[in-house]
Amino acid sequence: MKSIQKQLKLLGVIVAVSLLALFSITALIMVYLPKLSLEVAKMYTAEAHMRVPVLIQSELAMGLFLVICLLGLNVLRLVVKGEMYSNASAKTLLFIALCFLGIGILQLVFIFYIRSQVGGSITNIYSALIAFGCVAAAALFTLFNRLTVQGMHYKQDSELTI
Amino acid sequence: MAIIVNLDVVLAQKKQSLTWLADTIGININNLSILKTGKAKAIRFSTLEAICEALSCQPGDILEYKDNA
Repeated sequence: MKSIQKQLKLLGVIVAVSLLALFSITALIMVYLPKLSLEVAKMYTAEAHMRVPVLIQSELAMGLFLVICLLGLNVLRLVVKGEMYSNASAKTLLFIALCFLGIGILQLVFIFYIRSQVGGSITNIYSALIAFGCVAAAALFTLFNRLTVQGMHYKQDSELTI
Repeated sequence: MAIIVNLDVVLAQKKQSLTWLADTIGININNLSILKTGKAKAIRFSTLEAICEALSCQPGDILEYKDNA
């Protein structure tokens, strides 16, 4: 049991560092994206009217991803503390699932918007893949939430077995 | 729950305290308290054996079934 706890702590640290790196990279992109979108709008003046809606959608999606990174760090904190099977952990996993679903919905809105403005854009394929991936991730984290709730029941049964 | 734990009754009959029982059988007093108040979900045979040995009683003295209907 102790070796499993040690492994969990080590893995938790590795995942936390990765999440922090992802958080930093995403935050940087969010900061530079408005300037980049302005440059692109200057280059492609015919589609310049799409700049603001696309920028808003992108910033919202990345904002949700930042929230996912922070929530992920919270889950890792609970895992390292040995409180994986708790209400806080279950709720955090559910919020992560909802954030991924939010990103997926934003991507779908993005696809429909682009299609209404520009025909046959290759971007739609990537957006469709991201949307599909985010919906799948939402389902996965909902599954993790259910498993955590089940674990909570088992833990309670174990603690109340004298 | 349909299973009633009469540990406090048996302790009173034997004129012993929960603290004494916890020390005698080596189970945390908080856990024994959970058992006594009927909040336990299950009891191990080893725990039941230890309690019966310490209190010189039968499992039926500790546990009682009451039909909820």
